Amino acid sequence: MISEILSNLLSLQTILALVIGVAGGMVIGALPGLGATMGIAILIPVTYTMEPVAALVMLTAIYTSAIYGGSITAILLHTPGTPASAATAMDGYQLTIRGEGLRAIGMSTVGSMIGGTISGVMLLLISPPLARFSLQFNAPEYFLLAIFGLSIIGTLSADNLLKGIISGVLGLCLALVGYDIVYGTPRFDYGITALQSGIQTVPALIGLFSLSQVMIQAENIGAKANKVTETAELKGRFLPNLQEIKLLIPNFIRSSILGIVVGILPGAGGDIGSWVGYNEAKRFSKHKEEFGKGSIEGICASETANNAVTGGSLIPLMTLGIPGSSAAAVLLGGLMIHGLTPGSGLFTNQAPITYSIMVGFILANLLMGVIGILAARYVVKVVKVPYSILAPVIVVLSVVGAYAINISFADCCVMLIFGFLGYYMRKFDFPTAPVVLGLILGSMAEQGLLRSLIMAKDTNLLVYYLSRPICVVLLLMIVLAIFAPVLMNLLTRRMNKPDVAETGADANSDD
Amino acid sequence: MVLKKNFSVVREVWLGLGLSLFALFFLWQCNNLNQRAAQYPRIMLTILLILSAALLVQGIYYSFQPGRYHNRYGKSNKSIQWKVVIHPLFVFGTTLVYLALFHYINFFVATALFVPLLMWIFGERSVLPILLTTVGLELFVYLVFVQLLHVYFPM
Repeated sequence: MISEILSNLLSLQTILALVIGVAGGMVIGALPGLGATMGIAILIPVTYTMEPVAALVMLTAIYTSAIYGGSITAILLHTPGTPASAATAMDGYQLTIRGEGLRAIGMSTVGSMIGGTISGVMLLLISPPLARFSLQFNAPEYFLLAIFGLSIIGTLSADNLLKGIISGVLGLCLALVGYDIVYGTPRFDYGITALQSGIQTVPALIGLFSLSQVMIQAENIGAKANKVTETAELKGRFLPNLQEIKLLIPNFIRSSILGIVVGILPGAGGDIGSWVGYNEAKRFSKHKEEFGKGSIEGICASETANNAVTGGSLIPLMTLGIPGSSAAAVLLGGLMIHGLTPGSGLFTNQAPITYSIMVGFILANLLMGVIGILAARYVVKVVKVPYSILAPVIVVLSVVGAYAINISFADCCVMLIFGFLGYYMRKFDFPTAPVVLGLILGSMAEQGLLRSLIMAKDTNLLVYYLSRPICVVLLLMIVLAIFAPVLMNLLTRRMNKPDVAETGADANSDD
Repeated sequence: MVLKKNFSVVREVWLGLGLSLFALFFLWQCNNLNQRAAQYPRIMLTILLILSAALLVQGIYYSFQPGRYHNRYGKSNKSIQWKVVIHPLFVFGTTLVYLALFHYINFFVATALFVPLLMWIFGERSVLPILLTTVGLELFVYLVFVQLLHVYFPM
């Protein structure tokens, strides 16, 4: 298998995909208003005819490097490309004002590389046993797993739990369209052939995350543009010296572990990971007073943690098919398109492909460090690309991407409708990520519930569930997940995490 | 009950009402389905109906307690003004026309018209960037999707 993995990774297509994914992700992350989720959604169609390894390596590379790219503008312009870099903006920009911007970017590069790489290694170590364990799952367990995935919607929408749950249930209802998977009869298709196979997930994702973002940006037309501030000339030392690295080792390890744990928890993304890492670094630091005023330890913690979240969030995605964040949900769409179904099968029948993707993810994080060292100072220039150029590029690629999946014009219409829906959901404070979760987990939930009703026969369904040990554990996890928003709120208050908008990050971003 | 002078119905009322009607309509539509196949949709739509009703009740409560609503939602309390959504709706409408042109005429012709128009809407007035973006994007789509990925665009 090792030779197969090597040949997969050393193919020209994979190497090109890796480099393009890392460089492209950095640029996408650096552009305020664009993020990892949108970048992956828009580039999935480009991967259709690629080999699965090259395609997934490119998409995961975009994920991790977009999170890193967001820190560059956060440090130099106090404009986090993604909310995951909001914590970095506080200390990074202070260092830029002092003329130490390059040092801050250097720390962010090293931290992101270390956090991402450690999370990749953990992905490689934790996923196979977890996938083996999932072999013991049957219909009742899969139903509860889908419910668990949906119960974490609360953490995706801590600001308004009711609207978050409504979004998730709406996603489940949208998944009802098309042929009934158990009885094989058409539902809510109104004779439209394109709807018989259900609402296609990828066009829906492209609409929800890309077109709606262009519409959000269109609100600023005519408003006085936020002129990009020219940064001071970047000079001086870029990389931390060995002495600094040695002192920061506990910070790297602690932040990586915290990031991975936050990533594994479905629903908690890079922004929560970076704040948890930042807060813990402050608690352990001997120089607490420097935090918020240009602390290199703060940048190290938040950047290591937010990139560690990426690998962590891939663990439940690849083993159980539970996308914890919107970026992971879009990645699930990418996996499905290439015929890779999450679960034990990925680690048995498709093991060479799966391990190649995981090793590719680790390589992407290392390459991200190298490209970051060479090019980070120039990436900030892309922020100057006006939205008048970006908007048509995003819309045209969204249309082409939606169309290219099945060469179907109906998919373009789905994309357009979901773009409209996504825009108004954002305007009315309904989170969009739960709709995606509902749409993806809908068929798993339906199949699981109906089959477990058949399996239970005359036994009461709850009694039947309680007689299965894994179901009992899953039920407990669901109860815990329902109370997670309360815990998250308490945690957020303890961290004194500011409002996203206050940090300058895009409050509408789903990353 | 006497309504206060500054009484205003918060948007959650309309959202709750709209979602309830949506759920009710599709629950009614379940009658047209095979009864066994309608079992699961009925469960989901009933849950949506209950949640929508809860949003409606929450909205009514906040309509009478504007202070609490403002404390909870802060800035998001703002009603959506026409001047805010006009440009996004214009972008949406332009994209709709673009799709119609794509379907009835040709993708590349439609793109050649759409890109300059959208750039103009977003405030670009110089000819050179408009020309370069349009040509560059058309070339990119042609090379990547038509030549490399063999995507067929109807002529």
